[in-house]
Amino acid sequence: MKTSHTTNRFVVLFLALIVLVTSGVVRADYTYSLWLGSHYTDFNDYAKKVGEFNRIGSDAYPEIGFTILGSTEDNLFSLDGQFYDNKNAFANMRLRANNRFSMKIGYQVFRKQLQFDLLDNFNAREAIGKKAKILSHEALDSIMDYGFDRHQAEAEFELMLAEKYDLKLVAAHRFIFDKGDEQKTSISHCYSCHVSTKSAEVKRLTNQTNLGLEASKGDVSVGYKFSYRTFKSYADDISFFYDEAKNPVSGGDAEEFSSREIYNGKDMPTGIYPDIRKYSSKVKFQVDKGKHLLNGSFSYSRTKNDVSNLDNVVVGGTVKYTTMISPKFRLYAYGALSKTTSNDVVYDIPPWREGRTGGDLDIFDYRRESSLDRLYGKGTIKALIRMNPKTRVHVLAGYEHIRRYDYPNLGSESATNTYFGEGSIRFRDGLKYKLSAKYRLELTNDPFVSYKGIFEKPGADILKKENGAPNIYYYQRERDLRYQNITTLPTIKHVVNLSGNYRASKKVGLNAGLKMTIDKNTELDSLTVEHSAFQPSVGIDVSAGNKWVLNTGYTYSYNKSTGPITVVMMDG
Amino acid sequence: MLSLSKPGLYSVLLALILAALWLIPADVSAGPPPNAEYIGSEACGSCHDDVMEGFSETTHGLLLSKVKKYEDKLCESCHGPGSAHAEQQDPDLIINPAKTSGMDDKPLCLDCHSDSKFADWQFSAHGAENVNCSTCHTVHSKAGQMLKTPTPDLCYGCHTDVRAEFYMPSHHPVTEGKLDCESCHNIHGTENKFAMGDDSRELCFTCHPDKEGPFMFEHEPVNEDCRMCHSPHGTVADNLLVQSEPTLCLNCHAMHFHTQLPGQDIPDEEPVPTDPNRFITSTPDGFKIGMLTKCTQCHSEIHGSDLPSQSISGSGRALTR
Repeated sequence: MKTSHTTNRFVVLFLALIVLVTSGVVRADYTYSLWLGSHYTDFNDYAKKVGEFNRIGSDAYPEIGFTILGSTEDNLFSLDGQFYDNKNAFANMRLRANNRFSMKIGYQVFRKQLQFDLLDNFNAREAIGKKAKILSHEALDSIMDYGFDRHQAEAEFELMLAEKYDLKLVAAHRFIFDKGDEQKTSISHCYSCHVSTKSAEVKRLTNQTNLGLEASKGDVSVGYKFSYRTFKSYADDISFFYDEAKNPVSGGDAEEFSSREIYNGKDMPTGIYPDIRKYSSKVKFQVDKGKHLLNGSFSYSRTKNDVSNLDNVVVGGTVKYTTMISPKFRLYAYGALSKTTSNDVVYDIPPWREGRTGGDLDIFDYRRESSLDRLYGKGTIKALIRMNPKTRVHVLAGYEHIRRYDYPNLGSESATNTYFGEGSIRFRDGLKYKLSAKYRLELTNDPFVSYKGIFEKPGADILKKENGAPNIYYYQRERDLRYQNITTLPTIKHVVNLSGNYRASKKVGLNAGLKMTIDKNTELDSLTVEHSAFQPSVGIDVSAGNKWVLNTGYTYSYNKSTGPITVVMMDG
Repeated sequence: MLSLSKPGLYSVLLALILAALWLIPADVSAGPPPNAEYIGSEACGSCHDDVMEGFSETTHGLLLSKVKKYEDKLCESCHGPGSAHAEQQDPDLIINPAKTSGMDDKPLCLDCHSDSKFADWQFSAHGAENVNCSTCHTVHSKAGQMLKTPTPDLCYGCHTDVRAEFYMPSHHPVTEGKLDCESCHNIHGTENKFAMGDDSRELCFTCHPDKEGPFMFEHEPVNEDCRMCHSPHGTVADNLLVQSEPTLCLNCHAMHFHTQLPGQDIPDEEPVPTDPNRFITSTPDGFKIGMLTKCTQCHSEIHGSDLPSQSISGSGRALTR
């Protein structure tokens, strides 16, 4: 990898630009600002929790920030950047030349830290009273501060090729490079129930390039964009040792655990990243007839994972139309349809009882029947009504459909239908004050259910006592009870949003708001699923001329969730 | 007897509401009269000297003065012919972009800002909500200063609930300045330039492509909607999870019975099987132990994996490796 070289190139490029600009080689009117400072941090380990993106360290760092704005008769450009510390910095450059060429280039680096040690809560768990066999844990590496630096660079260009047709070439590129260490875990099932962690190097690279053409003539605009994205990890694979599976309670060998012996005594690679290539083509069009505006797109994308040789294809399109029926009535319509197809392949895994004790040969081959296979459709129609110059109302109705093929089994189908509607009224008295109220309702039939979903059926008649063990019930073996098809997702949802702004003077503005969300699953027979959120807020902004603005606000957020979670009440 | 399903009933109600609202007479009478004439920016400056001062150095001042069809009009390029307004000093006789209704053919600013970035403005959440350009932008300012307040504070002014979420322990680094609201949101209706489809998940994959797959062993909610498990602005739980583990996972999955068993010393010698009176059974402590376990510590590849897990249960799709 040559990322450090790439970073250096960016630094050199920006320094060269600053020298060019400030030396007067580029003749223009300039506005500069330069800011120098320093900061000192003194975090302790607790800061990990809230310092996910704040670097932990007890050092003083110099800081520097700058902006340069320049303009000539035909050109505008700007440079800005900040160095906070060697893990937090950014720089951006923008240029628009003669209305024919524009570009943006930016570079940024920041650090993301793991918020906690992945084994930490095992310590708490095992401090409950007894030493643990289930689970025990071990850190195989001593690195404690896991995290990575994200380097991100973006470039965007636009070049006018022919003004007559407004024909433009549009291009963009972005790379994201993550470098550092991460904590990987693995479990050996199930004698030791042994979770171990290792440090793994992070070297993840994402590259994306877009290339497109746009043109317009009269009322019609068309565009085409091709995008190509790759993701690959360049870190060495890590592996974990799988120990021998035994009865987790007695510690003895048991035939029933043969299924867990596939990797016994082996080092097996774990946590391998996918190797992804994705490309898409998108065609856009727009017809603007003043009172009528129609636009739409058609897209095709293919995503391929080279590790497993899988791919999926999405074909879809959208259409949007808006028309001004009268000076007081505007109508919007939106439709989207897409279909995703993913290949079904057989994964060949050795028979799990081959050469082992117990039972018949059981083929462990796995046919992948992807839940990606689906048809998606959505349509909305919305009316915007101006009742008078101060009052405006909007009403919206919509429908969303998701039909999943082969989920959860090959050939099975499930569909989720959602109907939604919303309305709002807004009153505005010039710039003096503004009041608005909005309500949204969503009704969903058959929301998504997880594979082997949770249960609602009472178990008293199903659970059977284990032979010879009067107090033992093997709940987890009662598949009819354990795996059912309910979900904690809502079937009805209400959202209310109230807000008000009052401009007390040219310099002082006050605002207040209230957002409430309540949802519920009404398809359950006995269990209750309800979620609610309540968020009132107040704020004030004070501006003294154009030089400075003070914004301050307070939001109170109260969230409540009621629903079943499945814990095991009885077991062996 | 006519019977309507729930959606049908709502559709009829919606149609009735629309019809009723359409019948309400509208009062639309702002803007210059048809006989108004252009009077030049000097006349504007005689009253609006605070705006005119330094206007020529602003972005719009610079650009308008270089476009032939606007060079004589300047202020009136956007505000329309000002003769009637100047004579009667009536604010209703001039176009004030800050007060435009959104009911016009298209917002005034889009006459010039007509490139593809704004093509979808009318369909954007802001455009359809009748948010004016001047709600966020200071039109009479210099380049680099054309937002009323720097983001994200500008956005927080209206989206106060989002402000609260970004101050929760786990959040995308917006308050730290590493991301901007516009990194994810189509503020002007423009599609995210790095999104490669219309799927809501695609937005997340632009920065987190390793989660996309396709994987041999899938976690189905990943294929549905990232927001089933994650709340992107901020959460109390780690990793932007809507609830802490294991509670989140137990919304869909039954807990392993092993997970609740209290610990025991691992004996030097293998214990004698004691079935049916085994020496480990569930206890109240066991429940606490279960709730102190994070599912992803074992099911570490929770977004999907190409490697089969050791256990046969679930045909190797336990996502443990």
